[in-house]
Amino acid sequence: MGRSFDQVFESEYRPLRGYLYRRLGSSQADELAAETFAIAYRRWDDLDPSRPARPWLYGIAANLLRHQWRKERRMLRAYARSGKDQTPAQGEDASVERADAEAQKRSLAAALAELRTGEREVLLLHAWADMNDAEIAEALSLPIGTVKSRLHRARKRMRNRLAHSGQVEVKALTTTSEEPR
Amino acid sequence: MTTDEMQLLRDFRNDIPAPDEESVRRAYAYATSQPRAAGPRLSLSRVSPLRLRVVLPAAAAICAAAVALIATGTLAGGGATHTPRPTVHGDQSPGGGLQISYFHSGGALSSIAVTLNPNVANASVQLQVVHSEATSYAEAYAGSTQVVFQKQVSTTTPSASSSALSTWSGTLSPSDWSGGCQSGLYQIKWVAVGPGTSFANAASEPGNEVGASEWFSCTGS
Repeated sequence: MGRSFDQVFESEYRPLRGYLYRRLGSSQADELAAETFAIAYRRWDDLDPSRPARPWLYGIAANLLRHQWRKERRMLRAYARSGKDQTPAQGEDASVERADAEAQKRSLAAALAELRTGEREVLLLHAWADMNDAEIAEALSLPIGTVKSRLHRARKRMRNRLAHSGQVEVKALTTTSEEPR
Repeated sequence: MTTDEMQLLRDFRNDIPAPDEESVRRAYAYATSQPRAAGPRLSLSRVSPLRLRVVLPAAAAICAAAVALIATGTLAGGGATHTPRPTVHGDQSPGGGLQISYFHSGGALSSIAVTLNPNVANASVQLQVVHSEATSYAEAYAGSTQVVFQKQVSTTTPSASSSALSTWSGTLSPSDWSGGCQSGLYQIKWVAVGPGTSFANAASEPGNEVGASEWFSCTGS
C-alpha cells in the first residue's frame, strides 16, 4: 500500500486537531490530537490497508474523548449561560457580533449540552468532521442503523430546541418594537 | 435567522486558529517516539522528508535541552525532569468524587479502599472493575476492556460538612474479580443515579454522574 503514517499525519492531523479544538478548546485539542496519533503510530499495523484511515483515527479520538464528556458539557452549559465561549475562535470579537447571532450560538450550545453523549458524538462527527453515516459507524464501531437513528434524534432535538429559543427571541423583539416611542 | 440547524452547527466555532508549526512538529515527534510493535525501522536512505524536517530539529532540541540541564546541575542533582508528554487520564471530578487507597501484599494488589461522593442525592451506584490487556494508559483508554467485577450499592447521606450529596465507602478485592489478579491494567468505573433511575444509559442522561479511576496495575506493587 502506498499510504504511510507520515502521509496520514500530514493530511489528517490538522483536521482532527481542529475537530477536537471545536469540542474541547485549544490545550485539550493539542493533547488529544497528539495522543490519537501516538496510538495510531503504535497500532499502525492494526490498520487494515484496504480501509480508510480517517474513521479509524476518529475512532481512537472518540475513545479518548469519552473521558472528557463532562468537561465538554460543562463548557457548553457555561457558554449557554454566559455567552462566553471557552473555545474562542481566532479573531472573533464577541462585542461586535450581532445580538441575534450570539443568542443563536448560546441556544446552540445549550442544545448540544442537552444531547445524550452518544447523540452528540454522532452529530458532531457528521457536522464538524464531515463524516458520512458509514464512516461514523466504522469510527464508533456501531451498526449503521444506530448511527442513523442517533443522528435523526440529535437533529430533531436540536431543531426543537432552536425553534423554541427562536420563538422566545421573536416575541422579545416584537414586544420591543411595539413599545411606545 | 437560519432555520437549518445543521448549517448553524457547521458555522459554530468554525473559525478556529490553525496550529502553529512548532506544535505540529511536537505532536509528530511525540507520536513517532512511541514504540511500534512491527513497524518498519528507520533507514537513513529511506527517511521521509517530513520525518527529516521534524526529527532532526527535535533531536537537536532534545540534545540541547539535555546539555543545558546537565550544565545547570538538574540531572546531576537527581531532580525530576519534565517531558512535555501529553497525558490523558480519567475525568475525575474535582473535590474527590472517587477516592481510592491501594493495599498490597506480597508484591500484588490485595485490596482497594474506595470512597465515593457523587453529587446525586440518595444515589444508587453501580461500580465496575474493568480489565484491559494494554500496558499503557493510552492504549488502555483506546482499546477494549472486559468487566471483571460489578456491584450495585446504595449510598448514605454524608455529614453536613461535605459538599457531596451522597457517599459510599467499601472495599474491593481482586480475589473477587473474574480472573483474579491479571497482568495488564485495571480501572474502576462508577455510575451514580437518583432514585427510580435505571443504570441503563445513565452515563448519557443529565442529572446522573459517572466517573472512573486512573488505570492501575494489579500485579505490581
